[in-house]
Amino acid sequence: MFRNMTRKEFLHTMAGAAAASALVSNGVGASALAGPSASNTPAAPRVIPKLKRGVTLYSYQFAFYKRALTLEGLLAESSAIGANYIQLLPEQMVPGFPNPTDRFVDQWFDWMDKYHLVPDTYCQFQDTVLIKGQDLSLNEGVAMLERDLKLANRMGFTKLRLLIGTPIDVVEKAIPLAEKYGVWMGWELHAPGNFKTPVVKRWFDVIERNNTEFLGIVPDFGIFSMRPARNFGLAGGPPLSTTTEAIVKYIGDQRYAGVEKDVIAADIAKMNPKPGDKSYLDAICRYEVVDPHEVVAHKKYVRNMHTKFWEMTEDYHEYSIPYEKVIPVLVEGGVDSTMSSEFEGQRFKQIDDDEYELEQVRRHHVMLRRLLGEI
Amino acid sequence: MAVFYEDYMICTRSFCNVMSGTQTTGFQLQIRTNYYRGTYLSQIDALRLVVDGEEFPTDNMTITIEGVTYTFDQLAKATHKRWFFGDPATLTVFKPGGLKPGPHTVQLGLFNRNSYIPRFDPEGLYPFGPPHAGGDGATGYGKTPSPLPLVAKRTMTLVQ
Repeated sequence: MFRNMTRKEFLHTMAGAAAASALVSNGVGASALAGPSASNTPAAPRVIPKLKRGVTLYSYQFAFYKRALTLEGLLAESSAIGANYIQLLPEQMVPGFPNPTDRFVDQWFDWMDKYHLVPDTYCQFQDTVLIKGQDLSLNEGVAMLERDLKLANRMGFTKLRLLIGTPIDVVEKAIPLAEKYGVWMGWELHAPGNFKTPVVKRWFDVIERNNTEFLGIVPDFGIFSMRPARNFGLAGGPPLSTTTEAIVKYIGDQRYAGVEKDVIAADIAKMNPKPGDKSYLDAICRYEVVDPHEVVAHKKYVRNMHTKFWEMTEDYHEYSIPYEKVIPVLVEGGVDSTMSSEFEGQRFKQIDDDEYELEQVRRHHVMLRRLLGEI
Repeated sequence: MAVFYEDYMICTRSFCNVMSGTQTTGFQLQIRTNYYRGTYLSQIDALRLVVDGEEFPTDNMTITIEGVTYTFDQLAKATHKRWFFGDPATLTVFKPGGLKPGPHTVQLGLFNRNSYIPRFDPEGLYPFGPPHAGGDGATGYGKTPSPLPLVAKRTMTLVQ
């Protein structure tokens, strides 16, 4: 570990470690994502979509870090592209977090009015080891979560996104507080997790036994990813030197197009593969790609989704995640949720352009507008 | 994997020697965190500073954040103060005589103790792959790397 890893990088690393381990199971395809898209230009949905477009300002973190754009500038940009439902990591962008001044909060609501925005989802981080060697007690943990529920309420957010590791007992004890502050909480369902992951089942148990409408899940679109992002190397696969560039590209393209693993394996066997090529196929098929119908089946638990992406191409497709196959299923299934577009490709690429992230989010919203039948 | 924040951690602005009366007592530079959330000060787990190959232990420096100056012992207890994402903090290093005017190569390592991933998963609830060897269910997350890698490097001119 060569620096402060993000959670996502950690998950990727662990995915890589697991992929290389002896415990590898056979790759699992996703029936709904198999097979080609009906068309490159999607048809208008047959039902009125209940999906609402938004953005997490996390997407613009590089521009903010370099002070190329201010928080207001990012809100103005979100408004300009119709990403009206705002997700924020308050600790990342709110001065004085967790106790911003009343003046800031007034300013925040003025911005919401000025740019026609809705404070939608507050992204919470539970720092369970605030002091070295000392885990927070249950009550201290609840107090930390209440701090965020209070600030969410103060800034007008109606939803709070919990990370995968936020302790279950803390969240369960905080349910009455979520009700008190009128803030729904949702755990992120993040790759390589899926609906069968034990902790996810545990979450549903908690929701059901508390009979609460204030707790659910936030699916992260990484669960629909068919191949690693470009610029992320082979993402837990074999060393590059043991692979053939053209075969790696072929595998990724076929996988993205929905071709089953055994068909791809038979194809590459005829292409004079190196040992790493087969390992790469195993690695990218290692984790179950979630069928979007499973999200539909759990739609009562879903109010916000992380519409994650790493690279929008110039023709408005996501390189790894086949949105054209996912969004129509969610629309037709009646999923009623906001979507927080989360651009994460800035982590994998050296970027000199201060507004690269802005262009990527704009492209993502062109794609979403097409899929929602807005254009 | 390309990483970008590291290129912005060491700031050229304000790089200077520090005087006390007529004596040069050390030098100063500004740094930014490479962590996307910013951090509570108590979660700054480790910092390494190397100038022209010479390492300066944190016992011999202070860090000033939002106008408040801390020793590293004080930092570990500052659970209610934060270092905001993108804001420079000032390191003041004790070094009698300071640095010579001219170019210096500065290297920096920084590790925040982030703990929102479970460090232990004895029941295997989380999708992080098999528990590490040893059977304690440790996920391996949140451990301070040892030695801490120097992730940022910049050569900059100290002006007298």
